[in-house]
Amino acid sequence: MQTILLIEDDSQTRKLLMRILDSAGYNVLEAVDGREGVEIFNQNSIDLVITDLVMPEQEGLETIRMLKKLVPDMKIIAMSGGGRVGPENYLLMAVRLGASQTLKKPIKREDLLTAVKGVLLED
Amino acid sequence: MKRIDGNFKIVILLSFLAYVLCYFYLFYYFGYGMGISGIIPVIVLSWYFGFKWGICIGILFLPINIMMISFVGLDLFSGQILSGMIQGTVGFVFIGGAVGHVSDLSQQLKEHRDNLNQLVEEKTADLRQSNELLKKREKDLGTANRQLKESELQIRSTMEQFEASNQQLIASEREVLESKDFLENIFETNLDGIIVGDERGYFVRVNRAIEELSGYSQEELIGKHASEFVVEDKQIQKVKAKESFVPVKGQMRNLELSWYRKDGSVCPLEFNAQYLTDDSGNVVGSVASARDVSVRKKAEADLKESKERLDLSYQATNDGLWDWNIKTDNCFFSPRYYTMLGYEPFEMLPSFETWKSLVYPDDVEQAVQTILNYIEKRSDIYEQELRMQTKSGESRWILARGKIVEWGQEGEPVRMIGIHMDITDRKQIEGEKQQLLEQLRQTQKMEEIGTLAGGVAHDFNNILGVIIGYAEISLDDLPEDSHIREDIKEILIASDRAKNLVNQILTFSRQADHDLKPFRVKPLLEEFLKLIKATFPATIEIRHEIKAESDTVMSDPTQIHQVLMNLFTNAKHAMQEKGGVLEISLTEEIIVKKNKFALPDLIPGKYLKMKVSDTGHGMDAVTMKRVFDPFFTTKDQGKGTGLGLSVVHGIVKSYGGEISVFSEQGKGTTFCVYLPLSETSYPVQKTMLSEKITGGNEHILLVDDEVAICNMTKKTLEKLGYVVTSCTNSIEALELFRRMPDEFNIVITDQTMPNLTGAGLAKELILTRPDIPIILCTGFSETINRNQAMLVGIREYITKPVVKGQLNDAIRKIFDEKHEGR
Repeated sequence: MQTILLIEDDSQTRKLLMRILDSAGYNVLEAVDGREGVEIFNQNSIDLVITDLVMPEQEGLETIRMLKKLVPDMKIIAMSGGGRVGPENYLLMAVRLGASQTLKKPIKREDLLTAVKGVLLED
Repeated sequence: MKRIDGNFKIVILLSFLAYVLCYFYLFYYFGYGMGISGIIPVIVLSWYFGFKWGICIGILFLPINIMMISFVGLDLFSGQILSGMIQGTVGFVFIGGAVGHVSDLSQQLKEHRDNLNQLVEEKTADLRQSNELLKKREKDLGTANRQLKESELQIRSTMEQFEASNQQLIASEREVLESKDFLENIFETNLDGIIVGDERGYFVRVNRAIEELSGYSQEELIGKHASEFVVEDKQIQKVKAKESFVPVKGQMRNLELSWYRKDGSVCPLEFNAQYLTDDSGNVVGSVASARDVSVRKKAEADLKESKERLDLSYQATNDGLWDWNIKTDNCFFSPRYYTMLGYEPFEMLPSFETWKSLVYPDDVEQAVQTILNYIEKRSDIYEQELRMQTKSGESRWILARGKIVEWGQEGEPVRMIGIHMDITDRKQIEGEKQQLLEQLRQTQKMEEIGTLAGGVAHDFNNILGVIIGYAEISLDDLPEDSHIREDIKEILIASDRAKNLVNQILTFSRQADHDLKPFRVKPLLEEFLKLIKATFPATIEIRHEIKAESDTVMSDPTQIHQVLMNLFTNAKHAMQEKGGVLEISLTEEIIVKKNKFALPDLIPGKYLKMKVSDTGHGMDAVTMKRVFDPFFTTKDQGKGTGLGLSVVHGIVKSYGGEISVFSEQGKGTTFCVYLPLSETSYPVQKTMLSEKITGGNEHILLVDDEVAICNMTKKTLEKLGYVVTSCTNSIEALELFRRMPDEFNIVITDQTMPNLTGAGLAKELILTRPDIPIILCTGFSETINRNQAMLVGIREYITKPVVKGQLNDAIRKIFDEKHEGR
């Protein structure tokens, strides 16, 4: 069973995503922000990280950068809110930083599972 | 009533006689004693007749008594009787006399009184008369007095006048005396030289000024002639030729000549001479004035030099000069004033009206008002920008500046001078700057909206995700036949609508973030090539060179689709008329270092370079600069929104790429698109176009006024297995539909079409056949939104560019719903 780390600050969204992933047979660990995420990451063996991008203090990008530093070929999926909160294109940046894919909210269950499957299959 | 008139006298007498008779009777019967009763008539008669009669009557009674006594037979001489008679008679006489006297007196008194009264009256009347006369005299006297006084005054005033005249006379005398001195004074002290000469021109007298001017004294000059001192020149010779130096009858004015001074130096003079004649017209002498004009001469020379300098500067400066006398409307315009507007110098008469006529009609009112305001308010500088018309009818922007330089007696402005500067170029630049500022403002506004939308979207989408997520999960847990499934599906439909709404706002304000996936461009390009070959006119030859090995770009496939679509459509339009060659190439390119000039924003790295060239009409340099501007288009109105290339530009830039254009008018255009290559690779990549899509075989009516798009979409749908009838005219489509409404299963229509928009068409179609499903395709910032479309009865609403998958999904959705019995 593969372990997924889910970093999402909105509690309802987190709960929902956990349930979806759980039903699909994954082992899901959750974190409410980037800091907690990195902590859990260090304490566990993670196969895939799914992280929200625009969290307070721009932690999303920072987290990706940090995780990539820790494990350079870490598989990461970045989630976006659908709109830009600032002039920067966070998605592009996430991708530049090494995210394998981005998902735009609101996320359909199907899309999420397809993406997860695809990324996990990546080399 | 004093003396009784005759008749009355007779009456009285008769009465007396009667009495007497009675007396006799009485005497007879009653005796002697009765004689006393005779006193009664005595009294009465004496009262009436007066003193004399009284006496008489008294006396009369004696005889009567005697008679009586005798008659009666008494003894007359008896002592008693006798004494009685005598007594009685005396008594009667006495009483009669007394009474009569009294009566007379009273009568006289009365008469006197009457007389007196009369007199008094007369006298009073006289007095009154005299009084009146006196009064009248008094009045006359008063009048006479007044007249007298007046005459007195007149005399006095006349005397005063006389006195005054006298004084004047005295004064005049004095003045005359003073004048003489005065004239003498004037003559001598006049700064101009005055020469008095005789009839031949010989000097008789000269004033001090002449002495100073010439250097000679009066004594030296008297008797000499002007010609002895004058420097000969042509003019003088001419005058001399007339034989007399002094003008023959008349005057000589402003003759300029030069004069030898005593010390030999030469002095320029202005000379006026005049004949003096006496009353009969004989010439008795001449008078001349001479003025030293050396100062003036110098001033004239200076002025000439200044004027020359001014003329030169007029020629040298690039600005037009104007000089306007506000009162007389005398004007001067420098040559450049005219040439600036394409006229010949001095081609028109300079005046305020001329200036007005040169001003651009729309600006005239304002311009005139400004200059009049300046004159009225006397502000510091007059300045305004206005358009003026050139001879050829064009307008140029002119900066007019000026100032009042001369003032009149009451402080009113009299003269104004200023310049005209041609600022057309400057204005143009300003105009462009304004445009840019405006664009910037627009952009900023959009950004603001976008920022707001973007901020909200994030949280909103989170929430929406939760709603959708749990709805989906719930669906899973419900049995197939549960009626609750319908309700859950409604939740999902509503959530979908919410998602689209937010997306639209984000798209509109360009805040939409797009999902980026690793996407391979090559396959998409290859699909496009196939379509192009099928749909482009035969006159366009298509060449391609696909050499890139890696072609994965982190991108949103929809957007890549948009980029390719726009570039190919533009190329096709450029070569529509005459045909040409379309070249497409896909290569890898490594950017080594930041190139300041060519592609300044590209970070060094690996790029996918796509080149699209056409041999169409090309663009000039000006157009080329603006080709990526939003809404900039060279096409006619209605034939293109001008958004295509600006969208492409935006997309490419957002991926960290770059797009460049090169064009030569008449030769063709080349676009180069650079996109950063992505290192990630996916094991399986499904291109959009070759995704397995389950199509259908329904009959679709397709309406789109852009032929290229219509054809392309038709081909796409046919490939999916549909039967397609296409129309490029919405009205034709309507007519076709009306003819056979049941033939078509679905209508797909564009929104923006001339004459009848997609929404309008939809309305009409639904009137004909209420249950016909309609899909509306709208583009960026179209004039109808989803809700409005739904209200009209449109089933599905797709934003352009239409991607096959999306379109098919929409179609399938409609039919699947149908089959589910909705």
